Amino acid sequence: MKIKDNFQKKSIAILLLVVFYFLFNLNFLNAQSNSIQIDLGVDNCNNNGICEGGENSLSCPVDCPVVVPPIIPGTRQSGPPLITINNLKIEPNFTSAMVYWTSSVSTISTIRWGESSEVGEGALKSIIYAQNHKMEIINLRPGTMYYFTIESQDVGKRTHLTAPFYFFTKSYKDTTFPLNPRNVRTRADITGITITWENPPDPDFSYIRIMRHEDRFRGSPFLGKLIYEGDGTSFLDADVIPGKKYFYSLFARNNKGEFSSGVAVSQVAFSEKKLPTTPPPKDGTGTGVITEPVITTPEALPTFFVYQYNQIAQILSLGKIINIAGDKDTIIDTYTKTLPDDYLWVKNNQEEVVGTYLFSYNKDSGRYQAVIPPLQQAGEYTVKTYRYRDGNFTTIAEGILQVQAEILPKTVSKRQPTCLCCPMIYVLALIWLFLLLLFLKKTSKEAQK
Amino acid sequence: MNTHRNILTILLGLVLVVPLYRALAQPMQSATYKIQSDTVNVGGKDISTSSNYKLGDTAGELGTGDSSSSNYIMHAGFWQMQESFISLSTPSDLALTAIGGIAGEASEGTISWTVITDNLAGYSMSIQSVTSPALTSGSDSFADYTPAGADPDYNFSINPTTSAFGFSPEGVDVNTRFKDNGSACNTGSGEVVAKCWDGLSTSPKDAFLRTSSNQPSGSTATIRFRAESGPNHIQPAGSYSAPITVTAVTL
Repeated sequence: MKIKDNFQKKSIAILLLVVFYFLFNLNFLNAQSNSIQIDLGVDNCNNNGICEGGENSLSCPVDCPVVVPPIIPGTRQSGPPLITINNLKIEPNFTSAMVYWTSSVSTISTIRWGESSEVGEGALKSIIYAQNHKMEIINLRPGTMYYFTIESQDVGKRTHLTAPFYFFTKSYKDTTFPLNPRNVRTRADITGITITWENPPDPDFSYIRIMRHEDRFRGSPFLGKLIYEGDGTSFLDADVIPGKKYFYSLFARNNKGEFSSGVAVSQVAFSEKKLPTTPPPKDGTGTGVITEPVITTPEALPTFFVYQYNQIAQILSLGKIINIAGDKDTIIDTYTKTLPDDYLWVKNNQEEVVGTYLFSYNKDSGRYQAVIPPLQQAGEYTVKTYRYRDGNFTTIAEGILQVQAEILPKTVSKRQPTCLCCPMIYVLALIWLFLLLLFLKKTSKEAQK
Repeated sequence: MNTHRNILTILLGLVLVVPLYRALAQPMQSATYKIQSDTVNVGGKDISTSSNYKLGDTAGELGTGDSSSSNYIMHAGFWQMQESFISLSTPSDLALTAIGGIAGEASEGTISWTVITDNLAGYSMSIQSVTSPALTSGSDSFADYTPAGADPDYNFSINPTTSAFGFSPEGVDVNTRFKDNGSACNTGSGEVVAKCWDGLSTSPKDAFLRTSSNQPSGSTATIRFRAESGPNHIQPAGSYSAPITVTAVTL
């Protein structure tokens, strides 16, 4: 009987289980789907009467008719070509550059490029007559200066060759020097010559090195008499001869052992003897007597380029205004096989010298560079570059830098160390410590047991 | 004695089962789940199968069968409740306005589907492309739009040297991932038109989600498509097409 009872109980239980299983295992999904298609027509000729980039006389004859140079009655067809190049725009990238331009008449164009003005490294030629041109130069080296020329040929087979243009490809790393010391000043009194400065706002900054010269500036941290190394902001050079002029070069060194391009300052040591009264220039080089460099024109002037990191380079030339950002270093750069100890002055609107900067050889870029720290005040700054020659400094290049008011930074400390994650790091560290304590406590309890 | 025990067993069974029947016969739900319908009977089987058919059966259910009036038809019984209905309209193909491929142009267009379901748990609707990339013309194509991060981009933004094709769902049932707070997606409850863009893929991407039935009027699920060629990109001329599939599934 017991067996039968158990059987009945089991039957009821199984029945209930079956019902519950049945109820909770229902899963009915229903789905509907349909397929459609999205269509889009792309036309490379919009027939709007304007010959735009990408359109040419072949793909879009309505917008880009072949423009033939006008033949002036009474003149020979073989006269000077009427081709002009306009609206040149260069967009350099790391290993390539897009070049856009327009020509006054329809032309077939050849672009040649290279790392020197001989532009012998590559050439690209279009095969269609067009007025809007766009070419991409590829296989370039990052952080390198390239020259290129544009040769245009119209339907009359007349040609026009431009002078070399130039651009810097973008660099994967900022190869400029470490930041220079700032606001370098000198003062002479009976104790000697005091040099003051501000250390660069660079997290990698290590120390300042001051080299002294008695004849002129030199753009090397390894030449001259080492008079100071440290991370202070002033130094008294007591070892001076009254009335004698001294030339100081200040270099900032970073933790990698790299030196900045250098800042120059000169000063005449204090003397109780009456010195010839020459009004001190507002040159930022101290209160001592310093004469304006002789301005002569050397026979072969080097070309100096002005640019900021990964920005288009422009030639520093008299009267030319170059817009720069007020929050970045400005590089004055040239190529030279010698190191002629050039330096430059930067003057503001009030003809005050903001700073004097030395040129140094940059082994990363292989070029000869001076670095102007961020010019924080909006306005125009005159830049004059000098070269020591035959006992004199001569002006070899000058131009105008303009800092726009709207692009001035709110904070100007480049490479300022930032630690946005610091609070999070502290929280994580506390949590980690807490867990460690719990673990240790538990371990010690288990050990006691 | 045995008879008494049998009677007691049956009574005990009734005492246990009858309240359950009353309780379980009502739709039940928790914060997370809902049992849409249930029955407690004396027997049955979920699925019996042969090579051609499947059968679900219940034994001993009362009040089953079909009945009708002039306006309604009723299919009574537990199994009648296990069907849910979903319908998806079939809109026409979308022809985007042609663009020039040389000076940076874009074209946008929308397709709307009407989704109706009586499923109390709602539906989800996904979209996928047939090809990768989706919008192609022979060997030429627009890249599938790639958001900057894991979430859709609030604004359709491409590199000037590229072209891309993307989509943005619109409607009351837009999936949370495509909702926005006015400046970013996958956050907030807003649904600004022509914002929150993603790219198509040959894997389905959930665009719409609804957790309740919407019969009889249904919901309109709209998808906006955008093809853009950057100003510094030359998109080869041609007739581009993107075959896509949308699928609506009851939950």
